[in-house]
Formats: sequence, structure tokens, C-alpha cells
Amino acid sequence: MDRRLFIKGALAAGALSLSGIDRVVARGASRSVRVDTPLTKPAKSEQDLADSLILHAKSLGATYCDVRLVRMLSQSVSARNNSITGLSDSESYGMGVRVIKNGTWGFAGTREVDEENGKSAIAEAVTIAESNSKLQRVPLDLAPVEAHVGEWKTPIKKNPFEVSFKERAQFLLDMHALGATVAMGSNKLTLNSNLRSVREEKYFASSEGSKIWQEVTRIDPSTWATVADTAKGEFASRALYVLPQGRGFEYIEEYPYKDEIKEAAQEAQEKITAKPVEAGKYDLILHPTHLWLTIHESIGHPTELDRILGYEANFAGTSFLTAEKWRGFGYGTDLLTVVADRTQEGGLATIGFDDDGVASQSYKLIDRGELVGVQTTREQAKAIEEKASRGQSYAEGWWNTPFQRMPNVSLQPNPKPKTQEDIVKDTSKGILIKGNSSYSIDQQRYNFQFTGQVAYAVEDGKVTHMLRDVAYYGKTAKFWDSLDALGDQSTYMLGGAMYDGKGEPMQSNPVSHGCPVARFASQRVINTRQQSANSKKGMLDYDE
Amino acid sequence: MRILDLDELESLSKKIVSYAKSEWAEVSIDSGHSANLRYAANTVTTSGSHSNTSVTITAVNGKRAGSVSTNDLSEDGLRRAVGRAEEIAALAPENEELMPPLAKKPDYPRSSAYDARSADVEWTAQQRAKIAAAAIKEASAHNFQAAGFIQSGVHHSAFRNSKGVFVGDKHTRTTFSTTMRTEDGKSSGWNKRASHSIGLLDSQSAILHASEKCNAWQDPHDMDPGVYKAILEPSAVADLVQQFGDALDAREAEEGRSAFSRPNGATAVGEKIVSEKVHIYSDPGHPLVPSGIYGESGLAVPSTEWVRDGKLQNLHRGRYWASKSGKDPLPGPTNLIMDGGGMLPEDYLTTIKEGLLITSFWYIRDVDNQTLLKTGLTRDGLYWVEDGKIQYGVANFRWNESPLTLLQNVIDFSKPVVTAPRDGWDGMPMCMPMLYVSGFNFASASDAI
Repeated sequence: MDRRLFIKGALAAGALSLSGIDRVVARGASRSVRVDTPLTKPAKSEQDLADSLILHAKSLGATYCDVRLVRMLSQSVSARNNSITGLSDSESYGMGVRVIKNGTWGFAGTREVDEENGKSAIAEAVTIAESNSKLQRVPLDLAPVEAHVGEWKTPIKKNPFEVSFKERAQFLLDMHALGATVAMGSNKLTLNSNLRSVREEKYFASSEGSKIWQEVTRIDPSTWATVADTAKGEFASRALYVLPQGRGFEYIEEYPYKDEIKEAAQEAQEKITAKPVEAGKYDLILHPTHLWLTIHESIGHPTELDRILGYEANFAGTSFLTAEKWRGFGYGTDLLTVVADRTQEGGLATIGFDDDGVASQSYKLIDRGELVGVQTTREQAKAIEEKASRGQSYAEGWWNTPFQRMPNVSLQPNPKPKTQEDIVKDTSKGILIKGNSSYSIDQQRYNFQFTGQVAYAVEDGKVTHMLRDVAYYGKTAKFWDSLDALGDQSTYMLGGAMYDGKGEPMQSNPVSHGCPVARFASQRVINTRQQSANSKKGMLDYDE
Repeated sequence: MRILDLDELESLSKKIVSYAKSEWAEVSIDSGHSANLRYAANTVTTSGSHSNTSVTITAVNGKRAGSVSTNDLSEDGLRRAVGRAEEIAALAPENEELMPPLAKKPDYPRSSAYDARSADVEWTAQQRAKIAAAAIKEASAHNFQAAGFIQSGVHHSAFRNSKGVFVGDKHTRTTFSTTMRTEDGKSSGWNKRASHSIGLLDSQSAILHASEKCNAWQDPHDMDPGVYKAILEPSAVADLVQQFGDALDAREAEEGRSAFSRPNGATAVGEKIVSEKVHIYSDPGHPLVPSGIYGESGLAVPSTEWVRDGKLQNLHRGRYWASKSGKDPLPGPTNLIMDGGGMLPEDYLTTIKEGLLITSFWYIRDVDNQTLLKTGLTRDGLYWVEDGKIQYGVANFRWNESPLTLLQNVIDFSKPVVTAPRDGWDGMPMCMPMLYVSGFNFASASDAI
């Protein structure tokens, strides 16, 4: 069995053919293994409840209905220095029902998962759809989907929920104890950590015949070191590069915490007295621990079709891409190939099926500098004349309605050998940036400004010293057009975030981005201590 | 889909605490219903509602604690949750920072954050539909594209500990924001309202403001980045004052990790940090922006002066840090009010000699916690104002600026009005003036509309 994606599924009778889907590599569906046994989960009573509610929705005139029974489990351990400051275990179980009536969506969610409350929720969703249909300009027209009966689980080696709280707490305390061995002189070191495990158990049943059970496991670690020079009243922080992934506790055990906790404490201290950067133009060498977030903001979000169509105009924003002109847009140099992939190993957005019941897939968004794909749901596919959804529908929990969310979006490594050392050797005036810190981009994804955890000067082919107060800014298209060196597979890493916010009410979406190291020629760098209307008179000395 | 009333929360919390075998326990309950309507491109998009009741139980033995949250309110579910909290506590290392439960019920302030009509699920559904229809109608009349969001919620919450301290609170809140864009996507206007009472939203005024903003911003001029005088609308002020409020932590300051740290463990309390015109405070009983009355471990949230006459008055202080530093604990603010002048914002604007008028901010992030430097963008309406009138629209900017600088540079302000931040947390009721400042750092140009 393929460890990455073990779908025990079957295409239901009468399902549509995938053959007409343009450019979609339906990896999830193609890996399905036909089985003759029924679903192992949830309990038959819950499956029957969903069937019954779908019939009830139809009896009220709904032309489409899906029912999601979702259990969200979360466990968290947090520590400050040598204290465990919190141990918590959270469970939320409920049901979200979504209908289409009169060509309009309606949704209702309840924690009371039974026939009576389920029917109330269906009735409320139908009422919402009926009421809102008076404001609907064009009735919804969902792209066709195969009816799937199947199961999917995140492939993990060690279930984080089976590692005792005691073991997890001790892990953090031991790590902090190691960090505390770093010599601080008169400076004061504060270490903070959180280790969160999340599991999403979801049953999806639709009026189109899909019955899907999924268990998605994610692990969300974070640690940061802050060093204060209390005599001067100055401080600096350095977060570890460990980022959340769709893996089990093995990810924590394999991560090089022992080395990095000491490195982080040392570098936080070094940042206080590091040389301030001189504003100007530099070649930027962006380490994958940093670049993943730049990709997220400047490629992931602009290629969301709901933004392009204006659905996010009131909140998250639209896109510099337009519905008419996105195809063929020149996006970077020919080194830039970017894949949208909900099947990626370890990816936070890796699942078997989306919340429209569409099988996960992998396809190119950008092919050697040309935009060839965008992110879609069943509701959106026909708007760009595609015959099927790309499978990007997701809801944060049972309590909210699914909409278009970002899959794992990853920059493909250079097929030719190229290490970070090769790139540094070939750089005469540059800055190497590791880790992500401050990130901000406008609502159409043109103008961005980012900072890292640490920055180093690169001079005449060598990394020479740490720099402080470094931020770079630019415009998306020009930035990717300046990509002139790309690392190979040996430099590739997977970054990601648990809480990518979009939509109203805002929902969080877990998403990963893989990338190699990359260099961007002649970027604009600023010194953040010079960035204030009052910086010349010294913001810190206002009172004097 | 029913939520529990305060009497039910009182008896439920008592029952849960009675299940605990640990030395002591505390329980928090939130029972709420929320419904929303979303529209874009002049049509309704996703809308829905949900209700939930969640319970968090913390069981404590000595210095060991475990917390469990669940929304399974069955007898078995609650007993299981209490048992699980006790199991976790037994496994937990000792936490030196763990504080004992409050032994005496604090004197809670009165708050009027609950509006009965705004808790009527059917009536608010009708209001949401009317507001969306009005926005789409206004957009259609001008060939604009409307997008927007209306959300109404009612929440009942309670806290109890095994020493007998109980507090219940309930509140309603409706937020409405709308964007108007020209069909060619070359101009955009926005407005937002929030209130505990849907009747106080004045949604029609918000719709007209957004429409006027869109109309006035067409064909914006490019200006060079730089430091300009600026006029911030109340929502933009709310965003930066909320960022300022987030930094008011005593422990971080006293441990040397804050913009309010001073050498050798001192803090900026008592120091003049901003213009002497600035007065920022919180008051859960404020009639216009009533807010939550209790905080950590059931502590009462008092009215608190944060800045008066430009001097920092207080930093909020958790119970452990308070005990260590020999001071009283002070919960963080649940609302924020900044005093201002006597003229309404639209009248005050007519008195401005010159400056860039900022409608709202977007994507604000920390850049340097030492200086409280933030970055972000202007959005949905930036205008050059001269002699009290909007002269022309100006293309958007990224800015790099500190709320401290903003408040240091205050020239004058309007009367404060109820508002809501765009980028920040709109669950915090805020009352802010329009602010006129002598310098704001617009760092680089943005092509976004």
C-alpha cells in the first residue's frame, strides 16, 4: 500500500468519467483501491443519520445537500523556561449541513448530533437559502464530481495523542534546560514553547452519493528564545525553524531540537549587538525556512479563484490576476515551477478528499514561468470554463461552511545540481535570510514586505556576519522575475502554517509550502530602525 | 439549536464542579449562537448560522493542573471531561506559576452589552437580509460591485470555581462591513460598523459612506513615499490603538522584553510616552461600547486608565506576576476608548488644513517589538485633503510606523465615535476619534485597489 496516500475507496456506480478533465492529474482518485467492504467509521447510526438528513433536505426542496459530522481533537502542552504553564485537551463534535435551494447556499451547524436537531439544522439551512435566493444573481451550478465511497488517514508513524502528556512536557523541559546552558552573561534568556497536536475526524455524505471518512493528523510545534539586555533595556528574539506539518510525533523526535535550541539562544543574543543593515539593493538568498511564506503570500493567495472573482473583496482582498487574463501570465523566470498538491507527504493541506467530496490532486499552477492553473471548488470551476473542480474546498470545523482554501503550494527544486554553497559563492553583495518573522502584503498581492529571524551579510562569495533590522520589500511580479538561482532537491524543505485566515467569518486553513533555497537579484532592503516619522529624533528617547 | 441561559449556566457549572475530586477546580462555559450573511459581486455568496456550548474544566492538585474542553454536555460526557482533567493534572509537572483559586467573589462592574432585540434570531436574520439588499441596491445604482458581511451573535458565558465564586455575563454583537468597487476594479470604498445593538449600527450610513468613498477615489494620483501629515478615520485609529493596547503587559516590560521596558527592570509607567493630548482608557460599563466584565480566574475587569496626559498609567498584570511583584493583578482591557474633541469626524475633517486622509488599514504586522514598529497598508480610500476638502484620491501606500509615534504626533482630533478595527480583532468594542497627526511614514507605493 502506498504510505503517502492510502485511500481505501471505491468509485460509486454511475460516477462521471475523469477523462474530460483538462490538465488535472487526479492522483488521489487514480490511487483509489476498490474495496467491497463498507466504511469502518463512523458508526452505522451516524451514517444512517446523515442519509436521513439528506433525504429530509430533499423533501424540503433542496437540490443538493451535504452533511459533515466532525470531531476536532486538540491537545496542547506549553512551557516557559523551566515551568509547564499549560496542559490542555479539547474536543468539539458537531454537525454542519449545507444545502442548495433556489440555486443558493444555506448552511447551519449544531453540536447536537441527532435526528431532531439535525432536521432543525436542515430546516434552518433551507430557510437561509430560500431567503437569500432573492439576492442571488446567477443560480449556483456545481461542476460534476464522482461519488466516492472511501476512507483516508494521514500517514503517521507515531500517534501524537498516544504520547503521554508527561512525556511531551518532559520533552519541552529537557529542551529548555539545554537552551539554558548557553552562556548569557548579564543578559536574561526567556524560552517559550508550545506543542500542539490536532486531529480532525470527518464523515462527509452528500446527496450525490459520496460517503467519505477521513482522519487528518497535524502537529504544531513552536519555540522561541528571547534575550534581554536588561541594563540597556534592549531585547531580541529568535524563533526555532520548526514548523507545523501533517505528521505524527515522529516529526518532533526527528527534528534537530538539541542543536537548534542552543543556536537560537546564541543568535537571539547576537542579534542585540549585530551590525545594523545599510539600506540599499542586495541580492537576497532566501533560505527555505523563510521562502515558504513568501510563496504563500505572493503565489498561493493570488492564484485563489475566489479572490480573482471578487468574492473576497470585502476582507482578504482580490488579486492582481483577473478572470480573463490569468492564463499564460508571465510569473517569474523559467526557474519557477509551482505545484498545487493536496497529496504532498507531510503537507498540512494534504487530505484524501475536499469538503465538496472531490479527490485530492496535484497539478501545476506555474510551469517554467507561465501561469497555467488556479485553485477552484465545484462552485467556481465553470466560471473559468473548466469541467471539474481542483478540489480546494475546506471548512475549518463543523461550525462553518466550506469555501475555497489553499492547497499545499510548493516551488519545485532545480533539476540541475545547485547547493546553497554554490549560490553563496556566486554572490558578491547579498543577504542570506533564514526563518520568517514579519510578513505583510497588500489586498491584491502586489506590494509585500518581509523580515526573517536572522540575516547574514554575504560578501564576495562568503557569509561574513550577522545583520540586524533587515526587511525587504518589492512587487510580486518583478520579484519573481528576479529569481536567478535555485537550489536543488538537497536544499528542499517543507514549511507551513496552521492558521491561514480567509473568509468571513474568518476561518483558519492549515497549509504547507515546500521550496529549495533561491536567490533574487537586486532587491530593495530597508533598515527597520529608520522606518518611522520620528526615527531621526529617536523613537526610544521621546521623553528626553 | 438552543443556547443555555444564565440560570442554566449557573446550575450546569455547579454540577460540573461537584464532579471534581481534585483539591479544587474551575469551569468556564460559553453558550452562543452566531449567524451571518455574506455577499460579493452584487450577489449573495456563503451564509449560515451555528450554535454551540463549550465547557472548559481545570482540575488542580497542589501545583499540578490539567484542562479539558468539550461540547458534550451529557452526564457521561461531563464526568469524562472532569476525570480526564484530573488524569492530566496527575501527569503534569508542578507549575510554580499556578495560582490558587479566588476565594472571594469580586465586585463585578455592570455592563449593558446585551441587547434583547439583537438576540432575536429571526428578527436579526430579517435585518441582515435587508442590509445586504440595501447595499446591493446602492451598488447597482452606481454600477458598483458590492461585497460585504453582516454577522450577529449572542453569547452567554459563565465562570465558577470550587470556592464558590460564580460570575455570568451575556452579550450581543453585530458587525457590518461593506465594500463598493467600480466594475473596472479601479476604485474601491469601504465602511464598517459594530455594536452590541443592531439598532445602533446605522447600516445605511455605512453603505452611503462606502459608496461615496468609492466615487471619490477614482483615478487616484501617485504620490512619492515619505512622511506626510495624516488624518486617520476612527477605524484606522482603532487598528493602531488596539496594537498599542496589545503591548501593555507588565511582565514583558519588567523582564525587559517590551517597548515599555526601561533599563534595570524599570518600566515606562509614569513616563510621558505620547502627546499630552492623549487619554486612553477602558471601561466595561461604557454606555456606547459595553464589554466583558470578568477575566483570568474570574477576576473583575475594572475601569482602567492606560494613558492620561500622555503618560503611561498602567500595564496589565497576570495573577502570578502580580504576586511575585507584590502588586495587585490587573486584567487586560475588554474595550478601548480614546477621548477626543467636540466635533463629529465629518465636521472635524472640514477644519483640516492639509494631509492624507486614511480610510482603513490592512495586513498590519509587527516589525520591531522594541520600538513597537508595525507595517501595513492603506486600503479602500486614500485622499489628499486641503482646506477641509478632499481634493483627489491618492494611490495606496505601504507604511512602516509605530503606534507610539502616531500618538506622539497628535495635532488634534474629532469627537470619539463607536467604531471597529478592520485588520484587528473586531470582538473588542472600541470608541475612537478621527486623528490628525503631524507625520506618518508612508514607506512604499502599492498598486492595489
